[in-house]
Amino acid sequence: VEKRVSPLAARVAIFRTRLKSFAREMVVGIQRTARSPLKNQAYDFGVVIMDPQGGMMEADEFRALFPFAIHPGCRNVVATFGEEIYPGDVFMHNDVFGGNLQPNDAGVYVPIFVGDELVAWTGAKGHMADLGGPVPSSCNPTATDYFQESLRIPAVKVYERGKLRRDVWNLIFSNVRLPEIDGPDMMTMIGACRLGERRIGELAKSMGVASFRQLVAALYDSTETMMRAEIARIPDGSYLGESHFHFDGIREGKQTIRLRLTVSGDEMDLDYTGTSPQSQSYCNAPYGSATAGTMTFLSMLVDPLLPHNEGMFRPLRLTMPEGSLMNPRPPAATYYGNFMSAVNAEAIMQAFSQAVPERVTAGWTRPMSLQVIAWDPRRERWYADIDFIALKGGSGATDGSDGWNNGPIFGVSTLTNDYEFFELQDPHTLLLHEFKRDSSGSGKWRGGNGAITRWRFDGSSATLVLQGEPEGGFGLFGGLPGTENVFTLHFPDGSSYRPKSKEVIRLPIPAGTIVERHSGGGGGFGNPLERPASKVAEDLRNGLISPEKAQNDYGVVADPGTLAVDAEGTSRLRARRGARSPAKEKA
Amino acid sequence: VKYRVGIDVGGTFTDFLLVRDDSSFSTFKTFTTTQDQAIGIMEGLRAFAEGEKTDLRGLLGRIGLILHGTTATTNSVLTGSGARTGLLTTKGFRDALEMRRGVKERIYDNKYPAPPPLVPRYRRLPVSERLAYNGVVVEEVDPASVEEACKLFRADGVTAVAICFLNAYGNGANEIACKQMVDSLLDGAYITVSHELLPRVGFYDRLSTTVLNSYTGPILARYLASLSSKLKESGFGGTLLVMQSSGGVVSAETAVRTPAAAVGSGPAGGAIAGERYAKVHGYQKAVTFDMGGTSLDVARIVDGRAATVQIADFDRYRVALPMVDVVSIGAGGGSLARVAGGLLHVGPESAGSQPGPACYGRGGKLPTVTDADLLLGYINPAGLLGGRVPLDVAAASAVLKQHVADLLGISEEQAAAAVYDVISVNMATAVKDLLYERGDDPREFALVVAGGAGPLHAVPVAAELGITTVIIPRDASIFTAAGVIFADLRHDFVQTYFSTLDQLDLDRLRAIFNDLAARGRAALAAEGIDSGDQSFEYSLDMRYDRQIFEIQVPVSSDQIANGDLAEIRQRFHRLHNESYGYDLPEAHIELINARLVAVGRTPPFWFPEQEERGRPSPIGSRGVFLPGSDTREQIAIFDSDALGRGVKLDGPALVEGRATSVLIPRGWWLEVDTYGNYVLHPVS
Repeated sequence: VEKRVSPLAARVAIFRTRLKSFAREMVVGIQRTARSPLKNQAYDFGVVIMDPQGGMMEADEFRALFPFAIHPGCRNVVATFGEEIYPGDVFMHNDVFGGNLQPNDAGVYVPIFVGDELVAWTGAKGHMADLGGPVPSSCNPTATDYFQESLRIPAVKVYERGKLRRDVWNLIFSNVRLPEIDGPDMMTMIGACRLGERRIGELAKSMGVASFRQLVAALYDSTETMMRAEIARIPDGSYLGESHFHFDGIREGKQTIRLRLTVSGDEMDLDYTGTSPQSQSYCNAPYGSATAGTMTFLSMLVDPLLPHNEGMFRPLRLTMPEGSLMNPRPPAATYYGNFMSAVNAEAIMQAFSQAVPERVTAGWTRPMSLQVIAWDPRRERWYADIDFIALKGGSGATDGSDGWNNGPIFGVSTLTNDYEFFELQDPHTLLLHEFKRDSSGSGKWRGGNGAITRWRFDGSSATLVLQGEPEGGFGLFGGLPGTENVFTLHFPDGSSYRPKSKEVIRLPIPAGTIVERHSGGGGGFGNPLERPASKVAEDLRNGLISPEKAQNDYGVVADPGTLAVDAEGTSRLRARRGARSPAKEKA
Repeated sequence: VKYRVGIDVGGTFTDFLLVRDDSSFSTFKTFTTTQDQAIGIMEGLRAFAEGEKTDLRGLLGRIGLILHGTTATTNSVLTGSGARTGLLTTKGFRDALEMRRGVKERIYDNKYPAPPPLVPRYRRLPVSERLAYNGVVVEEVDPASVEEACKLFRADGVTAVAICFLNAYGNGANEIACKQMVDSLLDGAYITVSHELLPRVGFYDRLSTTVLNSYTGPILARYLASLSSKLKESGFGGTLLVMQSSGGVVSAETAVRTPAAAVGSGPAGGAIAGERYAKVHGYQKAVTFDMGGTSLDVARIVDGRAATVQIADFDRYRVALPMVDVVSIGAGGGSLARVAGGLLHVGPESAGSQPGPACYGRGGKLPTVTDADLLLGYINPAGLLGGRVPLDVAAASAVLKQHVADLLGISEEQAAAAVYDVISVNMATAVKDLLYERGDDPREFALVVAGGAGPLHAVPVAAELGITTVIIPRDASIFTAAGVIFADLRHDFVQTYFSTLDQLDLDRLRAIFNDLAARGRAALAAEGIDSGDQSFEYSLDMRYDRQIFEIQVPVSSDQIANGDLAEIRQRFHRLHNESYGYDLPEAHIELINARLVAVGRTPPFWFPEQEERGRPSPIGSRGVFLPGSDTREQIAIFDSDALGRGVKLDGPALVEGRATSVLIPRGWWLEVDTYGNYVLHPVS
């Protein structure tokens, strides 16, 4: 197939398919050989192929955020080492002030040479089991600067011309708690990058460096063309989107992410000026995390088939003001930044909703995650787990589609534990996991339902760490908001405790304590009175909404006993309320 | 004197392969009847009988065995036309079916809807009962909750019920109590009980499989009853066996009890066929490459056998029963080509069979892969199937010009060549991704090609993958029906026994295996298989402590009988290392499931040897754009009927047959094997 000089359009398409396949091969290599469950089970890592300047060329996109968060670190490596980059080098990096997204996500970068010409880079980045700092796992919700989180690794060379630099390697791995897991995991990522190096090197060599560069340029150009066409479909104008959170782990108070979106022709300006100053807590999104979030949600608003590479960025201008929540200065703590992408997503959806209402979604439930570290009397050992069963919520509705019930939340699509394995693995007994009635935001398209999860703790000596946001999804265009995340502990003596949204719970947790979490609902889209009564009847019949909600929000009258819809009563009620939005009526 | 017939019902065609006791065979093809597939089968058999110079009764009287691949269950899931099903499950967990463990398959697609659950929420009803994690009954079934549910089911016209309780994989007491009540309360309902179908830990997997089983059960039962009675009325007194997703066949009676095991019946036949063709050529590793009108099916053969997986998602519905390891992508003759953002895309959208490619003249207005193949000269412009389907070259050229060539500023032929190149790399990538995912190196594999379009596209795909042997069956169009004939009887059993290897109770494990083997023997005996033709494969699903994936470790019955755990332990470490690149000698090992496969050998069949027919001469030539060349050149065309065994042809050349045409590009050569199949290699 190689010999024919096919038209550039076909050659670029084929080139991209090959790059994509190389990236996939690298990912599979990591999945198969990594030791840490975060990589071989939760797949909490990413792989990107980059150009000589560290620009994004192609990514494997099984997980959000990472695809857009690896190349900024590569730029930092290039800026740091300049001419001192040689074949056989391997670089390591986790510096959130040098493009990284989270202190625990460490990356490796391998330059690809044909002869002495640098033609590309491969990079891999993953969530490490531990990277030092005062708290095992390096997640410290009480941190007030990065020294209290984990080891900061600026761009360093761990291999030079194929030779391991023991000084650098040992310096790093003498400062982490699980070198027997993290060391081999790092080697696994290096192995994957070198595999990609070999594949891409062979390809570039076989076609010639000039052709390779021509194809990269053509790939960017064609993506830019597509992206410009997508932007051109968005009406010109200036649109403001704002979202908030109200507790930063230390202090109560409103914090704002503010986005000014300006569309002009086939170009777009995304300016976060006006976002609150950086916080004193770990609630800060470093530049890498903030931009990765923005690009992830932007990808949901354009053609899902658009390739993701430098060409996509060209018509965009992105401003993340220094010293703000979205681009803090050192010595900010930043572990929570990735969670904040859910808040960023809302600002983006709010701004775009004014420009392209048919493409956005209403609000999704924000993430709220629980870590458990406790003693298992059944197996007589310590265990640590993340409560994935509860790490879900209702997603926001969109034009033409209801939100997913208790589905993935923005940027996170982890697999929920199976109930039976959950009970076998940990001293936990699951009591309930069911959709929560009346949790969805009503709308012409309704938000997804949240769920109630309840389980009994049968272990001892527990420390629980809760991190997240209480808010459910906001409604759009007359759609109503979903219900909130609510987390409660019920103690055997009948008392209960409701922790803050970010808290290391230091109370004694006796066996028999019931952990209850209500995940929030997704926001509704459009006026609920316009939802076909037959769909409301279906939700009624399925017990997802109550007759009261059907009547109050949707203007659908149903018999509270049989749930049968009264067609005449419904049209009368809907006619009467037609002119007024249900939101107003509620107020 | 008894004949065997393999029948494969596909989306468009129903294929027949009849094998006589002297191993001679005949093939036949007819259109599938979608309403009741049995009608098409009977019509086909009638027409087939004419060709055999007898009537239907005469033909059926001679047939002892019918082996059947059916899409009856498959289609009922794909079209949402299964039985009206109710679910009874442990109170508090009725939404697990719809939650699907929280997976959304497309992260960037805002409008991607969740799949509709096979049972809507109002028919998913709670039963008050509970088993602890260790199978101890904490709460017995509350009869009132079952009665109330059945009342609703009856009022709602439910004809099938799925019963799945939390932690019931090791103790079926509560499920059985519930089933007995439903039996008496809901007359004639089709009931599936989770611990009977799949006594394996993993609630969601078991729940989804149990529901799918009830959803499809009445459909398959009705269909097989219709087929059996029609066959019987027409004089058939033999045995009807049904192809399973696992690549084995079972009796119609068994098939009706486990319809969820037949959702992948179609591709399974292709995988088994691939297994045999690879074996004949000495390949332990092969991939099938079955390229039809809309999709490409790729199945893996390793260690000389069609590889199976224990969990698969079928049309986004989880089925935790053994299924041949096959992926399907949107790449076929009908795949549409389009230019977007200055790039050429081919597929996954397809023109399907209606309107089809522009050159079919049935209203297709967009360029497809078939249109490109025609313009490049790979397809005889006189038409397909010996001229039965005429082709319009001008139409193909016009749509390629309008939708590709003019947008890119190139000629129609260049556009066609570009379409061909793009689809080749897309397909090669699909094969590569599957093999990499499983840790395989494509260069060690042979490519076994089937489907109408496969033999025209196989070589560039093989070249891209570094594959050096391409096997194309002489009659690639009855590939799947042949696979059905080759299949052995097979029953899969699983029982969870959760324990660390250190604390394993060997007597309990032996008792489990004895029970599974007894059930296997009984099933095979009921199908008339003598003990001499029965064999049993034992395996254990194991993992390191705290892992969430298991590795299936084959064990011998001796190892179990002797309690040879050290050897089993070593084998697990080794397999883990082979699969994941490391092992943890110090870590605890957990046992999850005991598995047993009971196999009943069916009489062997392979195609008879072909005769030599001497050196063939071309029947003509045609102007063709070969892959990798940008000029049209005349290449020789050979008639497939004139190619006897041992013939060697150097590329470039085309071989044309009734249903299969093979393109031999430059740099490759073709040899006709002993059985008349084509084998292609690169010139070394």
